[in-house]
Amino acid sequence: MAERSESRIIYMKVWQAPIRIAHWLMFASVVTLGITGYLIGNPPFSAPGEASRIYTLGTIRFLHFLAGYVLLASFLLRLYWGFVGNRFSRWATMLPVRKWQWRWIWGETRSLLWPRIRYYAYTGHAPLGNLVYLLVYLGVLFSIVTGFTLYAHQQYTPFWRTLGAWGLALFGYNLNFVHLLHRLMLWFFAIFLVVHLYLVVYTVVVTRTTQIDTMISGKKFVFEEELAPEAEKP
Amino acid sequence: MGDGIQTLHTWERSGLLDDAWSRREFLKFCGRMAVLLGLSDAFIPRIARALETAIQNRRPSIVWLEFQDCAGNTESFTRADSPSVAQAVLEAVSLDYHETLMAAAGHRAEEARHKALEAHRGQVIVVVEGSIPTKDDGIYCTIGGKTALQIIREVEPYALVFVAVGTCAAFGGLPKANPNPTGAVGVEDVVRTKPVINLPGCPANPDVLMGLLVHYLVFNRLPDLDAQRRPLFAFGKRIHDTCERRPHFDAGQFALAFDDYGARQGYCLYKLGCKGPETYNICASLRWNMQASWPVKAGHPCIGCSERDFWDRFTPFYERLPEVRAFGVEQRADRLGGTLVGVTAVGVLAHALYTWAVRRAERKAEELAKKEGEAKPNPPEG
Repeated sequence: MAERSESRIIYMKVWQAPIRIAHWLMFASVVTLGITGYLIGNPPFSAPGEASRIYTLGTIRFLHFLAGYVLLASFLLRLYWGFVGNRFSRWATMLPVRKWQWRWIWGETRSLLWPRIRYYAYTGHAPLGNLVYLLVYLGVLFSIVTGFTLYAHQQYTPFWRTLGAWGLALFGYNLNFVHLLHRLMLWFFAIFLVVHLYLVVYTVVVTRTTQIDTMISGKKFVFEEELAPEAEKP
Repeated sequence: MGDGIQTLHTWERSGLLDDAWSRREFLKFCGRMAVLLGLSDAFIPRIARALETAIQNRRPSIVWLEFQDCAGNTESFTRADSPSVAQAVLEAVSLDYHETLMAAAGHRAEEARHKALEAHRGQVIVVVEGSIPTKDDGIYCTIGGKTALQIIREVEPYALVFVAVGTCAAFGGLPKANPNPTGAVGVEDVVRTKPVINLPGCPANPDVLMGLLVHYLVFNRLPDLDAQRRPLFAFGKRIHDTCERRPHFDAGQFALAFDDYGARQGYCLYKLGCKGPETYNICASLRWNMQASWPVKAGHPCIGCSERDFWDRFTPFYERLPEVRAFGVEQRADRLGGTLVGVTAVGVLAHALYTWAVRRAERKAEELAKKEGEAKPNPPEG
């Protein structure tokens, strides 16, 4: 890495505005969904007083559905931007379909497990990160599908009835199973949150690259030579 | 309404009126049917007339087949303690064959079925109660030497429609529950050429069967069904959305045990495992036993008896969610998820400490090398 320190460092835009907006909307909505979802599935209280005067769980459910719509919107925004955004956000670059990506994934995994082994820093998401985020996006999609299937079964308009029937058919006409899968997604995101927060801090400390401020400003300090397409192949 | 009342007078004089119930009761029944089907009171005379015509002509013919069942739907229908209007009407219309209710037995009973079928080819409403075994050529349920499967095949050409009454007939029900030793299936899995209407429930609500019959008699067509062949008028909404305890759910008031303050206050049974949120049925609005009560009103959570494979899917009945079978251990979703999050957190912490230790050792080694380098009097240049 000695020659790297001699190369020119530039402050460049990596994450465009829609990516950052989608990221923080997803963060806010997933946290809201997690907390309210946990309370809906397992309300740890019994409110005193007359039912006609209180609407505690009703309000929690309202927040859950609202956050669900926010998550849907931010997911659609992210989905769209994966087709029109810069090269760091494209689905085409995120899919691990090339050999060098898998070589890189192995190299990154090795350096995570054996910290003595160093591996390269990457301007956007490194291939291992891309793989994890693809999995998370699939998780988001799965939560949206199961969540809106459950939501559809509370609405009795023709639109929601049709949607609910499709969703139910997808899961073998087992609404209780949909509930279970949706519930398990809460824990999927809880695990992701722990790993994600840790790896962000880890990356900042170990590779000395910016992470948290990059998701706010969108900018990152990058070695100039890394911008060359050849740099993608170690 | 005058026309309808006139009709009723004719009907009373016709002698078809069973002494079990009065004209007033009959009118109330017609009114209830109108409400059940979502019709205005203008339809009450039409319903009365349709029933009268049906009874006078003794058609359509109804054949009630019982297979792998407990006769619970029949029991529900006859409501042993007080003969209901619904039962009387059904018998008056033309219940030509019903193993439990008919007086005939043996060959004469089979003959009655044959006669009914031949006389109304393509017009018979076949009510099926109980599941149909398919394993080992269906030998687990035979009547008069014929398997349930053979009887269905025999009846199919004569049928107008198959009405699967009860969860067993609709979805396989309890006989189909794991491990399903008889290979039981519902009517919809066997009947290919005729429409099937599912009236699941354990047992099915007798008024819903009457509603279906009345709908056919009044409009001469079958009611709208949902994706699982259940009539929308009865299975269009979840128990949870029609439940009288729903305000307590929205308020966040729950019974936590069957004998606690919440249970006495009539709070929501959600936390005691109520499957109302997953179950489509009309129990909450129509109720049971002369509209006297229904499980949730009586203080018991809904077990979702009218849903597909409820015995396998909705158990444990007193838990919110089914068990997760992982590593041979049955766990609750939340305990499993919480454990995984904990393991992840510990793993992350271990990784951080490990990385820090390795890096520290490296730094120490570097510093040591540096010091040794400085200690040397004349470091070589370049």
